[in-house]
Amino acid sequence: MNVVETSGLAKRYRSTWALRDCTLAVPAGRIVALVGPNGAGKTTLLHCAVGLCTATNGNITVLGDLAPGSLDALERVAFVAQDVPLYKYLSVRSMVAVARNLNSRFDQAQAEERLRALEIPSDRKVGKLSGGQQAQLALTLSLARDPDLLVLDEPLARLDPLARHDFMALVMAAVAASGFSVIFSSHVVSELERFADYLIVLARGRVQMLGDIDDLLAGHAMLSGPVEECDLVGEQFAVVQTRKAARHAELLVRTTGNSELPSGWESDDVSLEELVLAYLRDPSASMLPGPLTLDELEASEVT
Amino acid sequence: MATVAGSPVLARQRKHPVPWKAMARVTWLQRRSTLIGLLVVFVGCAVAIVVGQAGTHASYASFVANGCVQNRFHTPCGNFENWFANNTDPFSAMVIALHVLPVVIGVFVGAPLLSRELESGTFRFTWTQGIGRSRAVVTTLVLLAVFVTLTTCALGLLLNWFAHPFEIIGIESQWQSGLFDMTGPMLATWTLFGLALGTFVGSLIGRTVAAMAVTAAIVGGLLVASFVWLVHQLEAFGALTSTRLVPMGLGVGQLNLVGSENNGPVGSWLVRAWFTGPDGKRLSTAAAYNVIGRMFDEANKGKVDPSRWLSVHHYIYWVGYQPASRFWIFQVIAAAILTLLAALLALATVRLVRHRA
Amino acid sequence: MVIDKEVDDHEAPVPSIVFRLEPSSGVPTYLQLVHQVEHALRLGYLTHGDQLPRVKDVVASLSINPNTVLKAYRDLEQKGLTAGRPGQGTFIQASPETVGLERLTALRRSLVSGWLKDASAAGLDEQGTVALFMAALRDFRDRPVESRSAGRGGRQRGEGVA
Repeated sequence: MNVVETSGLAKRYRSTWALRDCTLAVPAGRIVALVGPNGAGKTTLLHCAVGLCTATNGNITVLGDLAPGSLDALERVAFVAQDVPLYKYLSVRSMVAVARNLNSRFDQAQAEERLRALEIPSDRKVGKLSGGQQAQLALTLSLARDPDLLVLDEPLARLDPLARHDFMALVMAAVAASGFSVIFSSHVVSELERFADYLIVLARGRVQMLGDIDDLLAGHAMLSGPVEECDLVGEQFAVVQTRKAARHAELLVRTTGNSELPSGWESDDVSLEELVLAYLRDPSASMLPGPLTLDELEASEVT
Repeated sequence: MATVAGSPVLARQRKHPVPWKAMARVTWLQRRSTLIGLLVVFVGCAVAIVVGQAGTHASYASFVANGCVQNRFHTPCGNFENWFANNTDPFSAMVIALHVLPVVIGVFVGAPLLSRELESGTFRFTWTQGIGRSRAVVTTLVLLAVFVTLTTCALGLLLNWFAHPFEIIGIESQWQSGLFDMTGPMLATWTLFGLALGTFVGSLIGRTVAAMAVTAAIVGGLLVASFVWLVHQLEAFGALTSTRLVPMGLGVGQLNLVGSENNGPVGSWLVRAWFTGPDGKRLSTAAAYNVIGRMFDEANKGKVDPSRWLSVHHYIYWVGYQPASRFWIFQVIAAAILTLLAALLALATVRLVRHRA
Repeated sequence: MVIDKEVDDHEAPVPSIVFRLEPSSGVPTYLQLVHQVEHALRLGYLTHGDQLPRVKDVVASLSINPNTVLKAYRDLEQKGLTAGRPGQGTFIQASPETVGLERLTALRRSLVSGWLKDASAAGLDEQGTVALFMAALRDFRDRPVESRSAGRGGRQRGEGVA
């Protein structure tokens, strides 16, 4: 089952296209990182997936074939928006009660247990909690709904390092216990590998790269060799990024289907951060159709 | 691959009943302080009315005991009438206070309902919960509507009870624009309208302060318009005419009293009056007042009965009036118009919410 | 976090091993975990029958993807170092050639007084020494071995025709 699937998804706000022609299929059971510069359309894509906005063009379905925002989808998809919206004037206890009453599935005991463990006092006003605590509270409420998909919009942006660690630890532990899918967006690329096993790179409203992180890293390499041979070698591969020095050059290439390394050249692994930045620097570089086309991706999910 | 809690097919077939009790709890939690404030205002109004009414109790009891209801022209009745005429302030104050209620509810309950969510971003939380945005808005609106309708209807009925002695004596009338709008059903529907308008404006504008201001202006403006003009227009509709009444003046809204049958059917309401002259044409206002002046001069001299004087001079005094039995028809029409408006506004609100992307 | 406070959570016993991560070391996370288990085995901190920490406890304390931990544990199982008991957890099955502490000390001494001394005499600085050692290690390991997830091969030298 694909936990999110879009086809030609486009969204326009007045005269700006936040998303244009966005096509992807994310398999279930993954922790997905949605990455891209500010303004790339990450928030818009996530909002479309949780039913907060409707697309201008194209389709999107979640959890197989559910329409985002439909009652069936709302029941199984939990969302924490970018600025962690909560009712600031309510006490934590009241906030939990509101969440409980707005959902048919809600594990009150689990929520209370987690808040106790996080040492968030239940009679304090939500507005008086720290940023990290508010994020933890929002996350706890989402997790108590026992979702099949958890969507987080830049959850770490406003958190200090310790809060970030605790927040993601909570997410990871919940996934370990319940096995749901997660999609979180981030404009910070470093340390993504720690959390995510699937990556989507969005730039200017389009998908530049997507796939299992292991596959992506295995499918790229950094070639280095004499600068005179650079262009010749570059023709044999799909080059993502070229960097030339006086006597040597470095080419970041896609390697699938190409195993012959020219003599005198070295090949090295690429880090995820290097890879993502290289794609982001070159807007014309696109992985799609890349190592796998969308059809092949879907075909491989059937197994 | 990953296991999903419950197969997709089963989830789709599962019904989604509307959780009224749960939404009641949510509405209470979200608007606790506003609802408590409202309750305080309602109770305060009720207490003020009861206290005011108690103040009139003794005088009215005497009025009735002295047989003034059947015949108000014998001696002590005039004193009681004067007392009531001089003690309308508490009553008038409550009439004004109740007029403010629909505005208050529209501004403090209706306008912030959606605008606060939109402004603060909490709609991104609420509208992604399992209940769904449409049902959340509809249930909240219905619950609040029921609450304010019942309470304001009760207040309207209380005011009616307060007004009763004044109406019998003839100082106030339920047909009056001030009181017409403040009966139980009317106050309830005005409040419903205020709530619906406030909510609609709030969902349209998305900024709380602006929504509150616009709501106050529209609801307040319409109430004023109703007081000054709309009620008169409504009540004039399809008025009956008669030429058999003793002239009392040209103003709208003169009251026909119980016990003074010369002035037309008991409890009816004068909507307009005019004179026609010997040539059958309608007299201008100035000419009409001239005629009235001469008529009363002659009557005071003791010479001629006013009606005789008129017929001798070939003047006819026409009135348009509404019989008492029609009062409820106008109440129903007015209430229906307000309810219809409220319903349309509510539907528009839900539509706005549903399509906000 | 509760995991660190044994007093509060009576469910989590004292873990048999405490993991740490170096996110920017270039070594995949799951491999770091595998290596740390192997290292602990070698030093005798882990012995046959010890239970490895539960996946969710590792995840909660390190804040990493559960699949990573699962992959590491699977890797260890494939190597024969651990065995999973359904419903109970993952247990150390066999100790590899547990290199005892004394042996380690001896090896280290022989390196310092032998090869490292030669390398230094040949004029290699620290970085050069490390690079040479890593290359030699790769040569040593360059025999048919099961590939990792999808063929990430590390640094290689091209032999083919340009």
